[in-house]
Amino acid sequence: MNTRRFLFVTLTFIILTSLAVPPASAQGFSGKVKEFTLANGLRFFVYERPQVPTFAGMIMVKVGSVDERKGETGLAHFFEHMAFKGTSVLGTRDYAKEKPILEEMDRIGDELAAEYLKADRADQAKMKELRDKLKTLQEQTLTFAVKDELDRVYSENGGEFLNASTGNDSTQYFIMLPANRLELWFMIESERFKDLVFREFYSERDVIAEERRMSLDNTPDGLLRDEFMNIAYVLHPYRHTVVGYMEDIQSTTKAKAVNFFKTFYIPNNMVAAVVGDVRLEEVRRLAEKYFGDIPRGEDPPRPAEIEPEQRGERRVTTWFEAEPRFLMGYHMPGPADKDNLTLSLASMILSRGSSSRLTRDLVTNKKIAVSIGASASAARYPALFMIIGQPRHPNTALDLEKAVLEHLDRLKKELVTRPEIEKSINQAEAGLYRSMGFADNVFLAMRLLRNVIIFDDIDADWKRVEALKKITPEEIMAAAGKYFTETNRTVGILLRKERGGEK
Amino acid sequence: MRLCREKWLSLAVVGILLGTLTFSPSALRAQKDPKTLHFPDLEFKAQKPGMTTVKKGVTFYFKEDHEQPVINASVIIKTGSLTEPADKVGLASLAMRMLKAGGTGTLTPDALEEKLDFLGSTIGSYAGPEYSEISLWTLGKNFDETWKVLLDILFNPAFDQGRFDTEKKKDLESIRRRFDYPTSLGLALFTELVYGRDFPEARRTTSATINAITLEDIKAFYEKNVRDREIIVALTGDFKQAQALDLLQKSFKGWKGNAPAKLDLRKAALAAKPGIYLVDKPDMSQAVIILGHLGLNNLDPDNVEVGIFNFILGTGSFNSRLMREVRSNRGLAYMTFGSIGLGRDKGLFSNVCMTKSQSVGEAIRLMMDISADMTRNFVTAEELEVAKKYEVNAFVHKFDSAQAVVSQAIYLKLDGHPDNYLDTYLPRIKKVDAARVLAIGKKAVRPEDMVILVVGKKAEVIDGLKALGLGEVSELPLPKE
Repeated sequence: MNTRRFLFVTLTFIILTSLAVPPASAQGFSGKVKEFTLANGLRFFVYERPQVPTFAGMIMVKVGSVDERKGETGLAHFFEHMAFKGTSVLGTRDYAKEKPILEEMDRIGDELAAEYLKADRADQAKMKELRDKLKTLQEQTLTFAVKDELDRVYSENGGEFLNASTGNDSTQYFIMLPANRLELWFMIESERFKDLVFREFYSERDVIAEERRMSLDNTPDGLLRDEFMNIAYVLHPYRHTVVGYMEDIQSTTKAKAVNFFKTFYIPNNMVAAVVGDVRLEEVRRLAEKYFGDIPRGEDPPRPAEIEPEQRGERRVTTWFEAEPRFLMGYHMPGPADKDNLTLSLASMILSRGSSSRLTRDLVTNKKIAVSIGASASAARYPALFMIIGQPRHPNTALDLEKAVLEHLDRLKKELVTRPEIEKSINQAEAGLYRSMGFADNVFLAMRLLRNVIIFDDIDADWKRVEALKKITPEEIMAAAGKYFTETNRTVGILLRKERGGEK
Repeated sequence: MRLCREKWLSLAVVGILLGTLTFSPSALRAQKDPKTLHFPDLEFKAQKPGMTTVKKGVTFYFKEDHEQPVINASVIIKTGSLTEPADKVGLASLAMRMLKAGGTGTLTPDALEEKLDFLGSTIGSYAGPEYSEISLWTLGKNFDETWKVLLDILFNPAFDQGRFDTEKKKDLESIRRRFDYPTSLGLALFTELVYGRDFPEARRTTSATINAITLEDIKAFYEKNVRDREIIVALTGDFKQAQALDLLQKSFKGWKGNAPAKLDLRKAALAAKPGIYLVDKPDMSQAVIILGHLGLNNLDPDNVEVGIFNFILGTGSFNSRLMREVRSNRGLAYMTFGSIGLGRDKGLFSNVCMTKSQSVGEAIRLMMDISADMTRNFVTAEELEVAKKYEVNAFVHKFDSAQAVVSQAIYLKLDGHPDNYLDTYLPRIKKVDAARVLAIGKKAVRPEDMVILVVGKKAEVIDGLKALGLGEVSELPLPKE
């Protein structure tokens, strides 16, 4: 199956929570990757890998769901969908005729959003009428539309893996192409940001609503995670999911999306990577030609909230037709703080590999769980240390919680051993190479740009593994004592309805 | 930025009017239109891995790749779940996992895991339907030690009783969790409807079949299907071919390499009566729809050309009819796809979408119409062109890592494709015309045989289903396992 604009929410979770230490090349990237910056601030990273005549191109924008304001959740992701809808010459037969219809649709769309926001006082009949009007106008635009032409042009040219993903911290657009299509990539990627037409805005809203139903509302893990995050944070925007609340999706307007785009999609807020069978000089020449004329923008506003200290345990139980799930989180500091790495090492000792503490004790020996994983976050803002598990029947989520707590307590009372630390470091080092093999170029580009966006250092993942070597058992004990406290804890449990008694 | 562009356009128009500028607005537009860029098709010859016979029954596929200091290795054995007796479904998977999980004569399970974790290496062993694999990933510097562990697992497994208990309990729990996701439930039930519950490819584990498996069964499976059977060894990464060959000769000196036991498996026939089947899941706001019937054989004469049919129907993402109509034009779903699948005897022809309860009827009607149209009318010249150009230009991606080159060659061979399959692939693609696509549709798609499965909230979807006029809706119980 060709997947495009699928699975990004999943991808986000992986990036935010499970890569305590992202994989990278053990010598770091700096020996292999060349960098240049355009006058407008757009930074390019070029990794020449001539083995196969293909390349991956990726543009990463430092904007994610964390940059969304209250009442506008899901905008980063919504915009990402819009970025596939073409330009004034791509995706249309006659933009001049299409444009007035699009504008008329926006007037109706605004009216519909305003009515919707009246909540239980909204006039349902009026809303239906407005929706019908939108549908009719949408059909009219199809007269001029060349549907999904961006996809078509890329596909005809052998594009593979065309997709984009939105995360809490960043949004990225990527594709793999035959090496002789480098200029095509530059033209399409620059035009989609210079001359984007927000077409199909209202039908895309329905698609995104279906995406939310599919990834969150109708799956046990999505549902639990959504509810869990909503209580783990009270203020910071990490509390809402990337896809956004259904209510915000329904009430968003074109104006909000355009404004979001203008604020964040500026060259000084983007980084790009080209990895594969390309030459630095050619990339530089094309970068100047296609991206050089985009004006630099004002530095975008960033979240104005700092998560207040948590002062009491928070718990949520949610219900779904599925076997129990368990989530536990502790607020932890971001990468600027030394404890970030210490907790990352603790997470590896707890659950990396079959011989790790939690897996060995709870899955293999006591058989309380079928899966258990701990992960420390390394994100733009302080996030959570998470433990995710599935209890094995007849053990309950509460049994699993108790067993996990015993392990966290042990970290507070007993020093971890040197061999455990050494093993974790070996695994982390090996992990630096592990992501190679499938769609290499895309994943290399992803790692590279993530290093830049989160750590502002292309070798960050390698340096973080090096830095693990200096962490002592005493520091792990101190960090466990400081962060794994009852008042800093959030617990989420999902249960099947008829097993409510299990609690 | 958009304003900026339009300003340039109007400046150009003004310029022409004033006669001061010589270029035309269309020339300016053309510069920004990717359709004006033309590139020659990438001429790329199918890459082949090295291949040699180590000894009778031990074949070696390899490709060196020295960019990173890592090595991948796999031992492929021609056995899998299709060999299982019906009352012990799950045996092959459990046996293959136990090879590693159960430890060896020299390493207890704990010591084995500890050793691999300490090296930063991984070894995995799993069973597929026809083929099973033990695979290894390691940094080059730890290859020798990791390879020794793999050989120990293959030659000298210990089948620890405690670990057997753990693995069985994991299986029992995953049966409990199997239908937690509505899509997994849908796929399992659709497969069962089309093939029949007892068909080898449709069987699934139950607590009864798992409980019936004994440690003796595991050992017998190993002795009968793994030990001394034909194997294929694949190696990619940072090694030297000559040394590797030498190592394999030593490693498998005592391995007999006997041909695998012959399997005599049933032919597939559509098991369920065509029509609509519903599983009521009252907690769902979105329904899973899967519709289709049997597909084609791996070695069907259209096995390459069907790729063009599938691209246009439902694998070409936004260039496919399903994505275009169901998602892009109507916003009925986020995910939708479909294809004529190839299989050992017959694969599955399936069309999938997930849509809110209220639009289930509309989505089914649309998907049915899209399938039916492909049995009646020619695809458009444009659709054909996009699909063919995609296949030609994306061909290179099939070879974008050493591992892809090696595993592709091995599995094509195992599935019985001729050695020149990849060399003839593009010439075959280039010859496909609309008549061939229609012929594939007429041959492989049968609107009258459609099995339509819906997993969703009955109260909200039933009216839409009845209104389709496709006969009565048969309700299926939610299976326990």
